[in-house]
Amino acid sequence: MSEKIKQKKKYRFNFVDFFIILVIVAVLLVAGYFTVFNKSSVSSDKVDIEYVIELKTIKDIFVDKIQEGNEVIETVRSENIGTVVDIAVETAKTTTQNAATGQLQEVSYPEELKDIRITIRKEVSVDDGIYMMNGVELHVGSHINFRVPNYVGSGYCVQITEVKEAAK
Amino acid sequence: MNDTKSKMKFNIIDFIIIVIIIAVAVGIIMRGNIADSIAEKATGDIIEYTIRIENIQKESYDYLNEGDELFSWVDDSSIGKIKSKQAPKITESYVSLADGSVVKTANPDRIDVVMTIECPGRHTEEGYMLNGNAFIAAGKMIDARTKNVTFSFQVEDVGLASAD
Repeated sequence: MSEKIKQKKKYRFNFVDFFIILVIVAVLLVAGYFTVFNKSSVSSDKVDIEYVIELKTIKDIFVDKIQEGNEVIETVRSENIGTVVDIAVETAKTTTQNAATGQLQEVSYPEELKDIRITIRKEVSVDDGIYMMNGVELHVGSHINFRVPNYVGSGYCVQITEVKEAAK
Repeated sequence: MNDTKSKMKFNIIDFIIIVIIIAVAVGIIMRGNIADSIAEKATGDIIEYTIRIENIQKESYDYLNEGDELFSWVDDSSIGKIKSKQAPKITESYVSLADGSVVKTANPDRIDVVMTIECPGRHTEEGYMLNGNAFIAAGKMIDARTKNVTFSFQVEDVGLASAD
């Protein structure tokens, strides 16, 4: 009888056992999460897109800081969101009101302020109908904080186009 | 007596715990070494950048002195020393006239200050890194202070300091 009690004492479930089981369960959960996550990203469609970020009223001294071929990094998540393939620059415009007529009108700023449209190409996944770039969602209207090696800025996405094979 | 011995016996669970503790300790030491080596490489270059402080009071100009150290408001880290400052420029802004057109005008009570700052850092493929870890490029807005004055500025240009 006393031998049985000793054996029972020997195999008593204690805090260390609980802690180890907790660690093992946590590891399994993390592994399971990443396995499922990877499966879903593997199963999503991949497409090449070109999208345009518009920078408004930028000083002209910054225009040549962005170059074709620059890799673009989204600064909130530090993720690569594509390569610059085109840059279009024009004098910045704004909408003002003519006090005499009450009409709203589009007018230009002085020459030293520019509106810049940067076209960026990126292979993205389409998850649940949303363009995803390394975890960054992309829609027309998305505000994107970005950097290239010589410039930091932000702007709105104003255009997204899927690139067909022939155009690549 | 036997009971005490069986309680204190070294078993596989103890072994696993010790292995985990050693692994964590080694991980922390290695991480520390990596951080040190990155920090060593971080300050191989001297970065020189030009900033513009816009729309400040004229009196503030005299509180910005060559040699003053700049600190980031975000984390109080040093982001360089003032190497030089240009003469103050009257602040310009854009206003719309009655006909809706936009013109540039001057604000006689306010000034812009352009300064050159020097800071240890590194130039990489990704760009310039102040102190090896803070990305800096033209266009960046930074909240900063010196011992005398606090202000926000925009970076206008970044490069490596010349040898002189």
